[in-house]
Amino acid sequence: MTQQQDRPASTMSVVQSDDRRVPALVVGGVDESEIFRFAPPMVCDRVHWDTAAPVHMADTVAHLHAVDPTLKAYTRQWSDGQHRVWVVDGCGQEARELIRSWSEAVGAPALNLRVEAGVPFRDLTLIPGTGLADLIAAAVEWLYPRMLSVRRKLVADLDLIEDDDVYSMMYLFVSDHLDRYDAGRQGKNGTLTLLAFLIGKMRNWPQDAARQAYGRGVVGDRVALAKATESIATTYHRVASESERAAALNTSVTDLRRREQAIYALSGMRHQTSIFHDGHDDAHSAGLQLPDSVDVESEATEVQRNAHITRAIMAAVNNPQSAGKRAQDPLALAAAYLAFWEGLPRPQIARELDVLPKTATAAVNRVLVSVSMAWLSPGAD
Amino acid sequence: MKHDITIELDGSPPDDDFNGIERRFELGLCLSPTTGSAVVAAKSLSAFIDAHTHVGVRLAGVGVDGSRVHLTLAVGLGTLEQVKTADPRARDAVVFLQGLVDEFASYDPAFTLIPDPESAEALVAGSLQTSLDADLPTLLERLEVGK
Repeated sequence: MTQQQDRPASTMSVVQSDDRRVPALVVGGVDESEIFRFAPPMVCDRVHWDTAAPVHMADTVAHLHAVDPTLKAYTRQWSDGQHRVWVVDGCGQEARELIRSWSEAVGAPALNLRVEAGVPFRDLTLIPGTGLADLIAAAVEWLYPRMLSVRRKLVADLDLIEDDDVYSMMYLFVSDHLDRYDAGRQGKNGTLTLLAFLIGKMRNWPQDAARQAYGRGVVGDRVALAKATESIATTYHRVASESERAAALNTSVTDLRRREQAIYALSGMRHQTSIFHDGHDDAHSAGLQLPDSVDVESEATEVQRNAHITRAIMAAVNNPQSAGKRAQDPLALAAAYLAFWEGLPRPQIARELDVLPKTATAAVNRVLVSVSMAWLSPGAD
Repeated sequence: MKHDITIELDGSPPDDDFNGIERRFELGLCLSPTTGSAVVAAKSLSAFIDAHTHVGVRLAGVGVDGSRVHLTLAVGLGTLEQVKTADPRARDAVVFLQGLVDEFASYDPAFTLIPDPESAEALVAGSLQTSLDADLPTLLERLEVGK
């Protein structure tokens, strides 16, 4: 209690909150609120779609005006390349049908035509001069050094993205989001500034970008696998086993391998030449030199194949659900080891194990039957 | 597909003069971590073996092949009598093997030949076992296979 009373006033949370408040941008002596006043926020329906052929969006908006003069429409290019048109709230469905017919008429059929109702929108073309560009530049300049974790995650999650790419990506990200900024919104610390709005949006940026690049499923799998691997590494100081990784994805080992292959195929794009690079002339190191006598496929898969066989044999000789001595079958394991690995005939196995030949044969057959059934059953590895 | 096999029998073949010595059955299990994960694998393996002291297991070989490090363990199932009668000690060894296969699945555990005692792999493992100042992870770090 005494310590609390002695604490300096500057450490009080209220003061901290004031100090940490994200500032409003001032560009060329003009406050951001003054700049945004030129483009007041509206509530609109947004229609967005793709086309295989290029489309002049100005022509599309002009067509909408021509067909229905009361239909106020706006367009703006986002960095993802999709076509977007904003119309006044409640007119989204009508605009969609008009766009569909117009697209077919101009020979660029609309693909995946969708409407999002009631979204905020500012017509940023109303901002005069270089106000908008200066505002974006100032925002990126302020955000870039303060968003280290987001930048790191972007580089880590997105293949082919390097550190040098992030600044320009952030510029596009800010540009895309400006028309959605609602300056009138009130937060805990007062009015929501542009920077506070962008910081909030940036938290999900790496994940959204990865999902957009690879699809929701692959990215979700990668996140879950990374969590499981990290958890096992920190807890047990080793890499996660297949069964643990499969449990993390709530799936089977077979399905896990399929999904991991998809992830590795995507990640491999980033490092596709690194394993071949030997520091010599690139023209000569484009391929891997191997002697003719090497069976590449067999060599590459031998370790996994042997592990596969071993797992099947262990499953055959160890059944914890059985009671008593039947749970484990060491004799069958020994006999299978001699038969499968050394290729001993049954009589010799019997001599090695000091059992009757029929006992050795029965032991090997127990394993063979179980392994065959495991191999044939659906979902087997 | 060709698989090599060696069983080491403490004692001797059935028809020699070493009567009275209990013959034991050992089988080889090889873990094949990549060079990058070999040290981690070795540490985990040491911890796993330390937690199962009731099963006879020894390091029979350490070798490198391409991008893989091969750590070969010789796991004793017990005496022939214990194996034949499914004695609890033999069954414990099976459970131990199952644990190895499950816990270290990412290192592709597979039954394999126990290296010849004169082979380089066995000599490396032997020198490790007789060394007083080095354990397996330390040795791997010295060999720089973990880099």
